[in-house]
Amino acid sequence: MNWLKDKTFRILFLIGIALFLGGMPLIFVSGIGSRIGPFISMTGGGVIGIAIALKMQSRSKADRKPHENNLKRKAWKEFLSLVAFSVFGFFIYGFLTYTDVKGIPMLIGCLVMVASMGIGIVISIFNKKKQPIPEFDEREFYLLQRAASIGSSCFMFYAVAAMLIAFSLIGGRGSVPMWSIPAALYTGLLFSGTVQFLVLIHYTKESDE
Amino acid sequence: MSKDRLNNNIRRLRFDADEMTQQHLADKVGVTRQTIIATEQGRYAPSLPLAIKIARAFGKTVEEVFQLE
Repeated sequence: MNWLKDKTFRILFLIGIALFLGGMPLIFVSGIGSRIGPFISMTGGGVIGIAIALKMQSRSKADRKPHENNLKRKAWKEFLSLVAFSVFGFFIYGFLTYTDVKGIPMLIGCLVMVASMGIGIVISIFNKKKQPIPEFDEREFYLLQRAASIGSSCFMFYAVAAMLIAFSLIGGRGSVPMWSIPAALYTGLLFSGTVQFLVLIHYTKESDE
Repeated sequence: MSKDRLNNNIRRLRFDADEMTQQHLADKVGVTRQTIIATEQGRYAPSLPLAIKIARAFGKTVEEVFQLE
């Protein structure tokens, strides 16, 4: 947890968390600061995202220890990326909900974002194939697959549970605000990613003993 | 699900081989030290290629290093 010892990062991160969590209850309390709540949370989300992105950028490859646990490093890296991605996602969707942007320009913007994500995934797949030395050995690869499998099972469980709860409480003919759909998706991704991270950390602790 | 347990003599063989370190063995067979630790403690059953590599690192056969219980 050396990354938490950086004073600037710690202050920025804590301010972000405080703003994010502080604004959350206001979003769900109708009538009290209905616009202030999302704005505070969005600002908090942005601050957390910026703090994590800056911290991740500042960590150079030269900082790595020669026999550092690869799996542990990957688990932390992926978890921080997921948190940054989720917080950034909440921030973007929160902002778009707040400003109430809709229509063809919005659709085009979203399609461009999805297309660029797709291109990024394809490039990363081809880049991985070109790597001459595998990053992980057979046991680590097996553990990664196992953690991914547990993570996706948790996501499926979450999706079914969330759908059933929403269906039961609101009913088949009820309606939900559009912002709740991306919020539910990001919550699910964050949940499954956290489970995957905890499983990997558990395995790495076990293998270091 | 099989309940067979794979025992091994890696620890003893390492000490017989001039007290070879786990890291040295790991480097020799191309895995991480954590994998050697897990294998040595019987928490991980290696693949056949890895088992052969470990046996070769000590100049032994697979059966001399690993025993199915």
